[in-house]
Amino acid sequence: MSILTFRGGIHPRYNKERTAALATKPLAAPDELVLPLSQHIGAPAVATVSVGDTVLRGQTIAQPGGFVSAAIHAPVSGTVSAIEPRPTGNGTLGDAIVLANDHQDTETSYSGLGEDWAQADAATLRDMVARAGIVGLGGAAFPSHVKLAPPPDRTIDTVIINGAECEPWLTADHRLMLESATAVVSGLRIIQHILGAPNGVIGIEANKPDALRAISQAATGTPIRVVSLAVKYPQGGEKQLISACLKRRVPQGKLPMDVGVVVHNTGTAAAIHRAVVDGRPLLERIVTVTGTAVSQPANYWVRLGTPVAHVLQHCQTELTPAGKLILGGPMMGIAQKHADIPVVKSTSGILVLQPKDATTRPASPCIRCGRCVDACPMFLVPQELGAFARLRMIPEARAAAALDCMECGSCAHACPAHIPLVQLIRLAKADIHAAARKKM
Amino acid sequence: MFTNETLLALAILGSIGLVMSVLLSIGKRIFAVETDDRFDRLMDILPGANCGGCGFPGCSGFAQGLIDGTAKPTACPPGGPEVTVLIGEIMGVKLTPGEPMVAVVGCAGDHSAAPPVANYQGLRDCRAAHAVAGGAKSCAYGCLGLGTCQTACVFDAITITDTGLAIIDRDKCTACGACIEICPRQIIRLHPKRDEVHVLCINPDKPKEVKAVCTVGCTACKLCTRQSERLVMDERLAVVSPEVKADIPASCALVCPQGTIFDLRQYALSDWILDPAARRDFEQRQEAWKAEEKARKAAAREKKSASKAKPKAAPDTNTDANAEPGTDATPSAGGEA
Repeated sequence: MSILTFRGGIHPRYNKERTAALATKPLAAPDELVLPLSQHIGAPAVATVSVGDTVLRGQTIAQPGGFVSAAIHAPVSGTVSAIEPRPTGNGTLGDAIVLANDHQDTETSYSGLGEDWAQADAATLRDMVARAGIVGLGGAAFPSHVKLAPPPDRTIDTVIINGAECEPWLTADHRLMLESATAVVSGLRIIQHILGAPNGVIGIEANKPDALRAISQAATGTPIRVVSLAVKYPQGGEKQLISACLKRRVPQGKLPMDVGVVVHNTGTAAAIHRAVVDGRPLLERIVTVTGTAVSQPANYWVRLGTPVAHVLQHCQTELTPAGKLILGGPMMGIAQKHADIPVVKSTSGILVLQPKDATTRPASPCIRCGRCVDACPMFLVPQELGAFARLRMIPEARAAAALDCMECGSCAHACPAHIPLVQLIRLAKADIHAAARKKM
Repeated sequence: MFTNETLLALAILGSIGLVMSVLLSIGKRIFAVETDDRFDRLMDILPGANCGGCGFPGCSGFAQGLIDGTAKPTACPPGGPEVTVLIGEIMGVKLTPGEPMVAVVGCAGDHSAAPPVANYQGLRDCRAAHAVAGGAKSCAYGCLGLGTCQTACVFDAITITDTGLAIIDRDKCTACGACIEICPRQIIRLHPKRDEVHVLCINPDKPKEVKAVCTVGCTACKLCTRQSERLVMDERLAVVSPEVKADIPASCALVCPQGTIFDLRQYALSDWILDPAARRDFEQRQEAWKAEEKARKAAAREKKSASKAKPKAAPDTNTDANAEPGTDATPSAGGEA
């Protein structure tokens, strides 16, 4: 099996050995769960319960607020104690449904299609995915049913399942592929069926040979191709994955579906399997809790809405103000100022670093070494974009394709002058969007 | 000295020059580019700061906009009323200049009042810091103090204190609005220049939450609104109303238990923010005012009980009844402070 790769990228320290071998344990549900109405890209969900209502585990508590939106379900049974603004991971307050857990876990009834799902038509299956509230579980949180409904003029020939898990420290997808290999493969088959795509590919980084074995075994007897990918960040980036697996290049400003491909994360595939076969909505996800300040790192099945503080308590982790708490991985995750925020659908990891690992060196002037250019997997010139951002040269930044940047952080990681290039490019992107809004 | 050749050369060159100049002056008439003389006159009177406060790219853009009729003649903030009147003269319309405005940073919570809760090490830019989980400051509405507004200000009117707070110089500020547009937290707002009192807080949260994050935040106690009708409540926030036209008494600032209300007749803004002596002086004046107020209320009460003894003095009773809400307010102010 040859190892596939893309151009550009970096080799950060992976630090996955701390949690890679730890089997996923269910985490005890807390007394109070906070479910933000906006856990996904798109319109916020609309609450369908009111304060004081009794809810069952699995019951829908919020309906999608539009086509690009996702439903939310109660991860525990109990009562709705409040619907009010609560802190979210982006630092603002956002409307959330607060559930008081009765610790009974009385479940609502589920009706899945079982193994006969292939009899159902695409619309039925897509509707089941939508009703289950599934979003991209790799971190982007884009509602999955939207990606399963391409415009009629696009033909999708290949579905890729992203098992690269290129973010350092995280092992959530790795554990899922080991523990639920059949669900991942079955999820891919369902997605292929919905999209009418003949080819299915599962890409896994070569540093997870056990996952490669488990998935290959689960995929035997099917036409699915399991490929081994080079250990390089950002191997799991959508366009990088397509480039590595299929040697197809997604043109600038276009989507994977424009080259006949749809990419889903392993977690999403498994969730789609559960939604279609068992009829179960998305109630929990695997979260890797790790980092140098975590004394008991672990992979947990965490109910959505569980406060991060509750998770950290179980891992005996103390937060120090000088340290760092990151939701997601170290490359693309967002640093937090407190743990009073809930685990949401996109929370793939909770990373807590000690102060010595969290300090960055001050930025010095660019020496034009070009390492950021070598590292950029989108073939951009990050140092130039950074200069445009700093000088607020908006049309120039736009012309230099700032909007193509996916903020993977490879340039900032490679920069010997420690220039916060991603932050600068984000400013440029915000300026471009603001200028476009002004013109309208 | 002069040979024939020299004279000939001079004559030829001279006549070429003469013919050319005649041709040029005729050509100038024929091919003249129609320009509006108002453009040059406008360019002469506009401030030339190219701040963009009018929404046009620089002063020349604005002048062209005025001639094309796409620009609002009163839209030049740095020019002030004088320039507005001159624009009116050039354009042949009568303009009443708008109220002179000044930008005010609605936050007094520096590192000592609203300490950072995290160690932000990224790009020194408020917009970038705000995007990382809302910035490191305890208060989600307060000034991040990384100086993004300072870089946007072409009039050099903004300084960032060592304690992480933006301060705007009233005299240099032209109300062009560049800082207002770039501030990720919308803390900077325009106020009429004649307003001498500003509420330096925009945190609309509940009093308990405000107190938890900042020592100088507005806690919606409403005491200031009882001192003057200029101060009104905007939900959980006291604001100086732009509609009502009346002087703001000094007591508005003195009654505030949090010291959120800044009175520029008493202190310079930089002293108020940076100099502990100003705060100490304020506290002393506050104590003195409270004692004075107490004595006044006590006298009013006495007068009231005296007038009750003579029930026929109706008008007096009325004035006392009006003073009554204030009587309740003072002790509670003492209690909260």
